[in-house]
Amino acid sequence: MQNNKKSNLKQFGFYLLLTILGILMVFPLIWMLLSALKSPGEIFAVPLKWLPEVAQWGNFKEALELAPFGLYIFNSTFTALVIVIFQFVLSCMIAYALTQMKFKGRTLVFNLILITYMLPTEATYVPSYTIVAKMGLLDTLSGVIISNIASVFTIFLLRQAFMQVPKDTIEAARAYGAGDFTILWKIMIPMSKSTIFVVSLISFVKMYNNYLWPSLIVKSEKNYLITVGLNKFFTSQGSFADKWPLIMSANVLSVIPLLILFIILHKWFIKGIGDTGLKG
Amino acid sequence: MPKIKMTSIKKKYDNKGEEVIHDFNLDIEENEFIVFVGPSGCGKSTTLRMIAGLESITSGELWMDGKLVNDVQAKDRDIAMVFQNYALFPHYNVYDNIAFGLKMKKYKRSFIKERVEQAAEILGLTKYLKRKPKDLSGGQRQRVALGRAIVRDAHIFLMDEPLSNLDAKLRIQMRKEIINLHRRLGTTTIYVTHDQTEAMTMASRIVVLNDGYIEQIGTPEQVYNNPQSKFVAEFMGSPPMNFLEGSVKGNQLMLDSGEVLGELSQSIGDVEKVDIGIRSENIDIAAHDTGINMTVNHVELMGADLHIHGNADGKEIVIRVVPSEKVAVNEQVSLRVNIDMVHLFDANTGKALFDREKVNA
Ligand SMILES: Nc1ncnc2c1ncn2[C@@H]1O[C@H](COP(=O)(O)OP(=O)(O)O)[C@@H](O)[C@H]1O
Ligand SMILES: [Mg+2]
Repeated sequence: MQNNKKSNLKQFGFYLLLTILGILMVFPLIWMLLSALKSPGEIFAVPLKWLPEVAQWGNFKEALELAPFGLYIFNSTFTALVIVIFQFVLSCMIAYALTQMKFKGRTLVFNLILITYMLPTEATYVPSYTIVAKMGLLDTLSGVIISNIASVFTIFLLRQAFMQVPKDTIEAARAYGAGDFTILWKIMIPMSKSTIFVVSLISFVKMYNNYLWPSLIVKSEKNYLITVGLNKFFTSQGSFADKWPLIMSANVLSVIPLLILFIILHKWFIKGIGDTGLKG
Repeated sequence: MPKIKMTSIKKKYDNKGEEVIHDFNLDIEENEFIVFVGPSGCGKSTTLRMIAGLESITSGELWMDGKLVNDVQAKDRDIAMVFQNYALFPHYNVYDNIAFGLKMKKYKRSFIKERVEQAAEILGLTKYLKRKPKDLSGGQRQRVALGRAIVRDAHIFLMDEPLSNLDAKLRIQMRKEIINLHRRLGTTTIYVTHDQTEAMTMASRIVVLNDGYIEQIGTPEQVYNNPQSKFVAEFMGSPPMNFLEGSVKGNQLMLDSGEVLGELSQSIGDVEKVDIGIRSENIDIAAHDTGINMTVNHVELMGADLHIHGNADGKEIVIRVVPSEKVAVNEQVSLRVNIDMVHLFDANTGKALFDREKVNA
């Protein structure tokens, strides 16, 4: 009895902590949304005002008129999606080779891949920039895509997931007539789908939010990613108080694709994690 | 032409210094049910996996249907393998698991459906075709694994301890099902087990392995009645064979304690040290003092038999008698050994000194 009460209390404390942390995490998002609906005066009002007197829905329209955010969002979503697909295909093949094929220097290859992860990304900017330039891909979305298709993070996690697939299962597939490609496609990938799902999602968000590197590559407005576009908008509008609601509206617009993604996928997210393997 | 022919096959793992299979020679005929039996680590799985093509052959030749297959990939060997841990595909349902091999061969959908349903019928899986493996019991999973094997019409079945994850009752039932399946399909089968009972009850021929060497190849009767080495004698049969130490002088079989067990009906010359193997059914309790005395440790009634465990001549002995025999724990009894049924092994090499079957023939 005593014990039960204690653990209940403990659980309550735990939930309380989680709730507080949760609120802290979403607070900036909510504040952003509320600010997007305020008038310039309300944003900096002292004392602080939570809700706008009249919701200024026109802010969104005005923001969209000042810059082609729709195009930026499309560019970002498109590049992030293509990058994730490439990363998935390439990483699967590398992870398969690293876990299933026997060749000399296999560990060396893996270690070399890992070492590149230790390098600060910024240190690779100059050589990468030169390469992209030599390929004639500066100021193109292809340049952004191609420079991002190799992901050590994805390779590493997929390799971990592939190592979890029981050896027997793979051998059974082999004994029943499957070749390497079939084993990868019909066994390894389906059995690692929760990892693949989570990794792809993380990669997508990372690429969608990527700023510094794309800002070096794209120059013309038609190729702006949302991150670059927002920044340019911010600088071009200046930090005048009366522009802040517009900046906030643009921010809200930019997170919409990610929000939609999470709403569609959150069920999958939970299911995916609990749906692996066969426990005896 | 044998179905499978193995000549001088050797195996050495890359990451391990010493050879684990030494000079393996075996011919397997069409329709045979061969059992590889031996203690854990003796190389049964390694040998089976070499036949399957899942493990490379270090040296020697493996022939199937008159073709040298050393370098043929597993997927092209036309074998069907059943694994100890079932090795089902967890993301497929029962139907797709069974259909896997057929789909790989790109058969027509309707043909696959027919085959799978037929196999499911044979194995009593019809109700479970839509289920995922994780929602099946151990016995059902093993049936799915068997189903996956039989739909393929493969020429050879390979089974690696397929029943060892099942409980005792289910194991006996599945044993029967596998034997019936073999009768029905007649597919050449190699079955691996560490359980001598499975070997004795299922095999048409047994291959006893020890430490990477073949100890003996023979029918269950041959292996039981005529073990060629002390290892086989000890390993096959339950309760295990009893051993006493002695010597042979002028055809007299003597225990080290000096007691004479009797005269051998065949002359094998004098031997300084022999291991005398006697099955529990070939020892009796004698009415008079024979000089071979045993202290009874405990008594087990096994239904039709009574097993009496005790110590004689410093050795653990089990004898099997009729249940009406009256003995008490700690009692001293005199034993009578049926000299015409003893097996003699060279104490140094462990090799049998004569063929019991030939002598008694
Ligand atoms: N993949 C492997 N790498 C190295 N040694 C192995 C491997 N598989 C098995 N062995 C060794 O080979 C010997 C035979 O093993 P195995 O064929 O699995 O025996 P069994 O199936 O009879 O229990 C053992 O000594 C084992 O340690
Ligand atoms: Mg084994």
